[in-house]
Amino acid sequence: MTENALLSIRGLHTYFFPGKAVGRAVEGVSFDVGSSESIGLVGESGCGKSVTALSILRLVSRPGKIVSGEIIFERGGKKEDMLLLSEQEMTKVRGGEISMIFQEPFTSLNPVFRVEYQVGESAKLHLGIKGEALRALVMETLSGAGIKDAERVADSYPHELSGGLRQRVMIAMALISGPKLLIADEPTTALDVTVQAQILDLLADIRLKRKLSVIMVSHDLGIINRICDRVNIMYSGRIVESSPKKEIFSNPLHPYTAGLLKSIPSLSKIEKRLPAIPGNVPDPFDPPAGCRFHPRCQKAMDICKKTEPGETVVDGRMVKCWLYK
Amino acid sequence: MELVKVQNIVKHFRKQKGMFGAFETVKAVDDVSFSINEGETLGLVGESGCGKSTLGRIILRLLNEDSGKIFFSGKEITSLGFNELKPFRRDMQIIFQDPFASLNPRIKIGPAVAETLEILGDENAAGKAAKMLELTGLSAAAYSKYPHEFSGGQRQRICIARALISRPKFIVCDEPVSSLDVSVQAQIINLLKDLKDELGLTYLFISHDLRVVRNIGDRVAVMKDGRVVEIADNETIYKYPVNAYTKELIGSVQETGKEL
Repeated sequence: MTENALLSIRGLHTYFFPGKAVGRAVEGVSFDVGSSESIGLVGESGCGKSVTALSILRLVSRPGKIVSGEIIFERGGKKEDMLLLSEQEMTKVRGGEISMIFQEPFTSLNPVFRVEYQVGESAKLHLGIKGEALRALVMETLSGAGIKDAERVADSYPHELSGGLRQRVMIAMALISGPKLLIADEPTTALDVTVQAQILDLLADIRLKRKLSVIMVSHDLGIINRICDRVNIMYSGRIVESSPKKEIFSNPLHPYTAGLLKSIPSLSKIEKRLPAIPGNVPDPFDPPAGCRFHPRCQKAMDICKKTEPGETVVDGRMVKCWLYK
Repeated sequence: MELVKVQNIVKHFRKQKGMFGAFETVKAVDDVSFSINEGETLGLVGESGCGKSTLGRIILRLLNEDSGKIFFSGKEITSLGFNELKPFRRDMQIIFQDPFASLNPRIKIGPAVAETLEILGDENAAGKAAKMLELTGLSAAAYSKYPHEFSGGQRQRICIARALISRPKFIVCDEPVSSLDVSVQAQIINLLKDLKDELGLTYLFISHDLRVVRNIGDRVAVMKDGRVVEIADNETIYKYPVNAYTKELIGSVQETGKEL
């Protein structure tokens, strides 16, 4: 574990138990988030990236359960394992010290309350302010989230706002209590490209201004490129590669990372055939043996089919692949 | 040769503001004209609500236009009635965005694909359906399975097989890869390209993702608020966009190769 990590996850296992089957959604995920560092968690659907994010705040609901692992978070100078905190303490963490924004801004806002109330709620609870001071803080935070007519937006109901504005409201809501870590789970996926670009600019800006640590969960490597310092690539419940952004895009180590990067169509060049990864994302209830990627991997060797590779460090980058053993 | 020609298509919807509010007119498609040549792929890009899907449906006569004309192989089809349209239905098909919603969970794949041919009175519908499933990269065993047994990418292959079974000339692809994972998305784009070459198809490829359209379109039309604001061939529109909105769209794309 790095000394100055704000958050360190070690050996996180989150499983789902619907009936008799066991879905190993997250299996042994470990990574650190430094202070004011921005980490990307990338992968395709079902790889466990969202479940990892939800596990940090212990928001995984039944039939899901965190089975083992440690989530060490620095609170008031002390390092505490969040999996051991009481539910009451967790309430202080959620929205207070760690905030989260979700993909769908419409379903995450309550349709029957005005924006002012919803944004202010967290500050009322965590900072204990109310009345005029609260309204002033709400206005300031809304403006800080790039909302020009904060007064009007504060008095609106969610349905009166556009998708981009709603996401800005969500961001204001997440930031009002001054958290140290922001978890953004696909924050721009539901938005149009032009709005997406604006929201990403806003997040990049806020991150620097507030010296915020960010965990960005996304399936889109383009978005990760815009925001993150370091990228963790997830596949079938594991982090298969962890590298600084620059290196991962120019020289991916894991065959999955390389395949993923190549399969994204680009504006700058047209390919006669896109280099697709054959096959499908594995089912968490019935994953393949050995390396989880071997059935789709063109460089698969005999050992890949039998034994799962451990972590290998190559030039300060972590990769789980037999090619680097 | 022109296969599809769209002339001054207008479609307005009336929308009520709130339960007791006044009605307002939404100009979903507002005076759109273009044509698609045989064997060509026209990419239609725009953000949500710009009218691109509405336009796609109007061209197939799944939705009636308010005014304007549509020509298919030189014949005007806008004035045709339900029965007169039938021979044209065989030649034009659609692939939808969500392969989960567009397959009936209680009908097996084979019959679902064969259905179109049965309606058209083909006696060997089942055999042709099995062949078509193989052409789209599924195994023959898929024939007697249910939709829930397939992943998103495989379901989209089924939907493609179903669209192609009547051997159409023209296909509207309405965001066919938007709900798929990137690695699978590339497979489906490749499949659509291969099928186009093999069967001599013509596509109207609707998407919000410029990166996808860039890789499949011969020409690209950009839509905003019901209007086509720019239409040009693929290379030109990306390298030398003229319209301010096109420039904004291109500038908003997040690329992995971009240095920041």
